[in-house]
Amino acid sequence: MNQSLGALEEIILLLVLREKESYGAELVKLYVNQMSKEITLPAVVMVLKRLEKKGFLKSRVGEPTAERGGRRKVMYEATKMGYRLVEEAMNAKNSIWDMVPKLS
Amino acid sequence: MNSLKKSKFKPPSIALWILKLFCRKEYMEEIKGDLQEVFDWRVNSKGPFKAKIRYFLDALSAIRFLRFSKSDSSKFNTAMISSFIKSSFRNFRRHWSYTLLNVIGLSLGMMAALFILEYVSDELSYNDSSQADQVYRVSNDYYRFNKMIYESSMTFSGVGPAMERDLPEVESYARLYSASIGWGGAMILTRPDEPDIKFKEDKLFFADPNIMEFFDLEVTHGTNELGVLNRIMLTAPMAEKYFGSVEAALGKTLRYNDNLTQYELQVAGIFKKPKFNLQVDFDVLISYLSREQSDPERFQNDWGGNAFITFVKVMPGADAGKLEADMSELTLRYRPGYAEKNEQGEYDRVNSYFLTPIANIHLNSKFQNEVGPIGDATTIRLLQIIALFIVTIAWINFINLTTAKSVDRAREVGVRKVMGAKKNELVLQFFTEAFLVNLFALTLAIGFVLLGQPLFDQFVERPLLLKSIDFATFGIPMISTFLLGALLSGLYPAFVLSSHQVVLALKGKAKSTSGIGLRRGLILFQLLFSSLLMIATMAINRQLNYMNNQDMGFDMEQVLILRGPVVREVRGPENVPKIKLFKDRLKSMASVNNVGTATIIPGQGILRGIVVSRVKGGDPSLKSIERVVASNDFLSTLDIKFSSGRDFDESIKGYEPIIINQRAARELGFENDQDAIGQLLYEFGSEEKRIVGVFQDYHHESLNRPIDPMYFIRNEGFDTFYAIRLTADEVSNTLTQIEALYEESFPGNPARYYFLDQYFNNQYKKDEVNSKVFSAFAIMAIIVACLGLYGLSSFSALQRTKEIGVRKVLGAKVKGIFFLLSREIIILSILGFALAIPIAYYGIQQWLDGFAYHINISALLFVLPMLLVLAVTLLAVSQKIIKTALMNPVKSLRYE
Repeated sequence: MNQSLGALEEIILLLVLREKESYGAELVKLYVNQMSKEITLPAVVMVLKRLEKKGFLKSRVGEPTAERGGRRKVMYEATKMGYRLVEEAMNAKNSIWDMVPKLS
Repeated sequence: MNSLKKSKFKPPSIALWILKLFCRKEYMEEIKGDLQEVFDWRVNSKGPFKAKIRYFLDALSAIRFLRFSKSDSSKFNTAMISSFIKSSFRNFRRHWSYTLLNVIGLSLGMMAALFILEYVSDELSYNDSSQADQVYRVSNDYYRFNKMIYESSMTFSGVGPAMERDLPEVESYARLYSASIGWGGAMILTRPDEPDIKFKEDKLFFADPNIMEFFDLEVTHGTNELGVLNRIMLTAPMAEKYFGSVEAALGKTLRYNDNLTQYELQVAGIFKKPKFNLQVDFDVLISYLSREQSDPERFQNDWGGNAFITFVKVMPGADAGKLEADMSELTLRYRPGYAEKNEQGEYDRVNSYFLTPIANIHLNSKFQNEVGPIGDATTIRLLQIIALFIVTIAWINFINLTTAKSVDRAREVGVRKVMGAKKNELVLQFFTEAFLVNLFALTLAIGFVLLGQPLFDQFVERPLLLKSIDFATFGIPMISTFLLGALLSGLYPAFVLSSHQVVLALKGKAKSTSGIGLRRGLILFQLLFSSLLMIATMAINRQLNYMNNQDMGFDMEQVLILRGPVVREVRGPENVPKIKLFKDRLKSMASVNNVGTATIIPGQGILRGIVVSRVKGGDPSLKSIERVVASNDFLSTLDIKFSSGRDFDESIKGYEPIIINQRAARELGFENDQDAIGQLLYEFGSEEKRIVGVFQDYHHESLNRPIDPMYFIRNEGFDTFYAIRLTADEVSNTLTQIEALYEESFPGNPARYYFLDQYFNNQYKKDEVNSKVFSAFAIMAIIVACLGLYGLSSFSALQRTKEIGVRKVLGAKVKGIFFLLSREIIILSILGFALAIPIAYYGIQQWLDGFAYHINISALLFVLPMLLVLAVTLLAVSQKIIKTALMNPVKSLRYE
């Protein structure tokens, strides 16, 4: 299985790791707020499904809520493997970033 | 707070529909919920409009989920589709004859539609330049004393420059001028270094440089030097004609000759004609400046001679109506005489100008002197309707045959249902079949079109520019029509077929009564439309026949028209002896009966631009009238009959004789033709002429137009046309002799001639082509409709086999059974025909109104097509019916 992460995958995974679990709509809102650019929901869900298939996420069907018109949401939670992968990726990036001379 | 917003704004429903189309079922609830939440959030943060747009984009982007479906058991699964296709083919093989009938009917219909599409788009593509929305053609009408003197598609040489100079909305102008238009004079190009290389050129114009921009002409070699003195531009074929190749032509010299002038011109460049049709077609362009320099009075700022095809380019969004009004004002500045007013305070002379978008000229021209072929917008619209109807007839066949067949397939449907097929899967199965049949038909139709292209070009008598196979132009309409057709023709049968009750279907008890009313209605429509086309074809053919056989009032058989010379050694009156010598030598030939010359011959569009009066300088009886300058023998050569007085002859001396037609005599106020003889007329209000004869009205133009007042004046020096009456024998030999004599008498002029009857009947060419196209497609429509009737009748005969057996056993006669089976179709065709009569009557009347002389609408026009439609439909249905009726009852009772 492909164990590397794409840029969008990495960000979505990070956003999921932020709390215990999260779902599509919330991730879109967070993404838009944090990255200040637009994204379509299917793109996010697509990434979530792919991450789940790779084993970095697991999902459960949540309770229906009124604000979603009575529809159930699917909640995603990061697995240990997911956490490790992001940790590795961030460490690698941070160590490279440390080598970059800082502008004053 | 959220719930409040939610009730106020809803996501667009079309987006929901798209979402449903793309998104997998398993994700649907999650995605929809999430989308709703994001939507509400966006409404709050960005406003409802942006939220809706984003929602729409979200829905579209759900297309990415389609990729998932491959490994899943969704209904768009390939195994399923291949199963559909496989069972479709099995079904086709089982009912091959009926499938063949469907495919052939549909492909014939589609082929007809494709050909019509091709013809129509060719007609619509005239002057379809990239500048078409800003470039207008300027025409003008001239009124005097509130009477229209003429309307002309061409205007004065001063109009274009004045518009650019004085009207801020006008960006630029371009004029085209040809010496051969109106006058009938020819233009000759010669290579001075090789005097043998000389040709008469018709598609030659003096042009302003902007013409290149207005009509998307592309300069492939050299530069556009139409603004430079004595420059000429050629198309590549022209360059090859004169110099052998494009490269060799550049910089070379060509000599131009017409009745008035001669120029030495340098080839400045080669241009390529655009992809669309040009209304005014040209192969050779000469800088207008050359003409202007040699005769500035006529060609620079003249406001009297209307011989200039003028185009103007206006600012985007300029109001053409306002420009037209401004132009009429402007005339007063350039033509001081026009400012005079009469006692009532009205202008005596009025020039009104009209701007026509160049793309509209071809189909909507009303001018007699329009340059280039004129089409007819109504015909084009009718043809489009016919195309649509022919395809509809073919689709109706498919629907009728398939639903009628549904009984046969009831058992199959029953079994499929028992095996667990859902209704929508059955619908898809039948859709697949409809789609495949349509696809075969389209492929076949495209094949037919490709093969039939040369034939069709010949049929419409010109090569069509755009081929319907040209995917770039026709791809999208073709595919969308095809899909729509497949959908429509598949929809109804699919639902009828898949809705059989399982139990009844398995028992084989399903009856084909469902949709019988609809089937009848559809057949009625087919017959109605076929009858309409039949009647229309009949009317058009009879009218054409009438026009071709009508006595024109002169004898056009065996008259050769020879164009007069262009290159002359002497000019003006000094030509007379030369012309006389040539005529005498012609007359001395055994096979020549008579020779005359004139400026205009019958069949030429005329302008009625001349005024004559019975009072010198007087205004009240001024008439607009056609004027022909002719020699002594011209009228007798054409065998025009006199009602009073006499023809010109050499004994008339000392005054200027004039001969008028009866119409002119009436309009000038003579009660009897005799009263006119010896009376004086004043041409242009002042030049005195004496009437020596009145001739019987003859049709100078086609029967589309009424007979106009006209007159002949005598002059032996105008030989634009030689009319030569030949005896019947040895025509080809005579032609060679005449040609040799002509080239000997007028050296440097290639002889050009044609027969008057051919030339005259050319006026009906457009109507003839239309009639041919109409007839062909009418026959096509009927064939397609009959194919359907044949299939339907054979099927219903088959269904009633047992019933007929029983009837025969009980003593029914074959004749009785035949009527029993064909009664329905006879009633339907009579009904269809009855409905067609009023529509056809109205249509024919409208059409005939366009002809000044036309046939009367008689019962015959309807009876004959009626019998024909009835006969053809009976023929189509009878074969299978008779076979069934004759069948041995023992066999038919065993059937099923």
